Amino acid sequence: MTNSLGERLWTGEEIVSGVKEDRSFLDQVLNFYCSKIKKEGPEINCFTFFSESALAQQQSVLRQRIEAKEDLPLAGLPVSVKDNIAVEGMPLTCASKILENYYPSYSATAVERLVKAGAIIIGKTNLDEFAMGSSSEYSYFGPVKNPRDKRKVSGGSSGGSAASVAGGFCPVALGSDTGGSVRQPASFCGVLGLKPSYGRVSRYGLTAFGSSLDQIGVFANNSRDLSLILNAVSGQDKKDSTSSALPPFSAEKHESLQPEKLKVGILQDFLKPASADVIESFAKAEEFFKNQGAQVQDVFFPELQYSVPAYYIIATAEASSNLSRYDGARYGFRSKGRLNSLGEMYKQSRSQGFGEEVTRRIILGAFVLSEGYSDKYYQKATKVRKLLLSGINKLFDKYDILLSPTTPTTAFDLGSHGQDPVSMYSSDVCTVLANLTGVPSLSVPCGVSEKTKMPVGLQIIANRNQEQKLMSVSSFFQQGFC
Amino acid sequence: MEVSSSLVEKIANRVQLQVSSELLSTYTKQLRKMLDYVDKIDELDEGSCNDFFSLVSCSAEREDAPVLYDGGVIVQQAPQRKGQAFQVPQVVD
Repeated sequence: MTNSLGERLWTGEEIVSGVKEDRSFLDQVLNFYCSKIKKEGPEINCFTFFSESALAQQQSVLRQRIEAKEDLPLAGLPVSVKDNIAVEGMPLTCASKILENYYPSYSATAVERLVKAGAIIIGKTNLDEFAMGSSSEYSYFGPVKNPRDKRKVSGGSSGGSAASVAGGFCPVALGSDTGGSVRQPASFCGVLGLKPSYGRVSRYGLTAFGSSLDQIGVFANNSRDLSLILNAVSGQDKKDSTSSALPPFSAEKHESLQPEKLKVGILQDFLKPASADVIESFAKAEEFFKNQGAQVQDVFFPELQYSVPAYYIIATAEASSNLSRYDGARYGFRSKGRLNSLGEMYKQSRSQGFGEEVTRRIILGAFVLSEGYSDKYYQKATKVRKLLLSGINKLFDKYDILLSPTTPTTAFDLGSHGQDPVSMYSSDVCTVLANLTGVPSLSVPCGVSEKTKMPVGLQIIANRNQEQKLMSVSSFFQQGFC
Repeated sequence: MEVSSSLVEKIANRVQLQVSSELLSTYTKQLRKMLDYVDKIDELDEGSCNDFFSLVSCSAEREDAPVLYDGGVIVQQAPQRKGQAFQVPQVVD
């Protein structure tokens, strides 16, 4: 298959079947990605960690497991992992100075499951510090560039993971999505990005940002590869009490899609803020579903206008609490200045260790939780969240899926949002709903803007735990539309 | 609402952050803008909706038992350590 840059690359599925048939294929695949990352990776800046020796070690272990005829459904599949997910033996920085030189003593459950299935962790990817941002510019390691146009952002916060797949450095990647951090960069880079239902994938080993919103997600160039990874990483985990009791997603169980029976709702409120070129591409996708016989109707959900403000209140409140653990005492960075007391150590280490956006969000989060203001902000935001959940449940009584553009614009220029955090927040307008309500959602490429020549993403939202339906629709769309 | 530099400084202190006077002025302006933005939720009449919210019921719980780690591995990550202990500024004179 060809990727978004028109390069002929292996799909994940081709790699797995190739490695099973011919063991020397593993060397060919890893040599290819290794030399591509070394040659082109630094310019895109999508990796925070890549090590040939770590790769060689994994390769050697995998060879022995193949010799031992272990069941390896992901044998030799190279996966890049966002650098806020723990991988034992690799640094975990969250793109922050405060986690400088930190090596976790365990792997995230999702990573453990990938490795058990035979995947190779090819490297750790760049992100907005602690996953707070929508452009991957707020990183201690510098911004990630979009492989389609290096003057543009890759999106965020999982911009490094999206760029690693779009740039052809690996076929699949893990990211995390708290308010759109998988789907928005997938849309900007022209790849697929899935945020599963809340709880479908264990969050154990994912650095906490907004715990009631965070979910590990997947990037790939096609629906089949997304399914393979979701199959491996989903399922209950005793280390995460919020993980779903449902059995793992099945990559083999295909829900046959009868388009004429598909009830599709178009979220009109998400078209209002979209630019003309995005609306144009979206209209073609909408037309595709109509032409296939689907029952397509416009839907209106006025409460959606409150979703982004509610999201920023809840996410920052949870972040201010979650990030209190970084104190310079037990791991990561400690200020090198003269520290006369514990208080000074905490304050100076945190002030020098966190970047500006993270500091801003911790302050806002502490404010909305403070006495006298928590009723006005935090309590009210949780009520808005409940109204959104009740609203989306009513929509799913009538419709099988909901559609909207993934983002109101295509990828913007690096540095164009400058010192205005609020303007950046509005780029999450179409994506936060799925996090606030816990439903699964996916971004699939739906063309290229005539104006900017950058990809446009179609967001497909399904009801809770209906990843199977989401994948069927995505696969049907990608095969028929592209 | 009125957001002053002293309020931002007070909040920053509570969350163990020290903000320079230059950044304090920037953060104050930005916090005002962020609060103006999130104030939009005030327009919504949520009626009798209560604020209890949960997306999941706790379905998976690990055994309530201590997990023992090799102390050396944990302490190795410390920015400053003394033998097998974390080293921090003196707490008691």
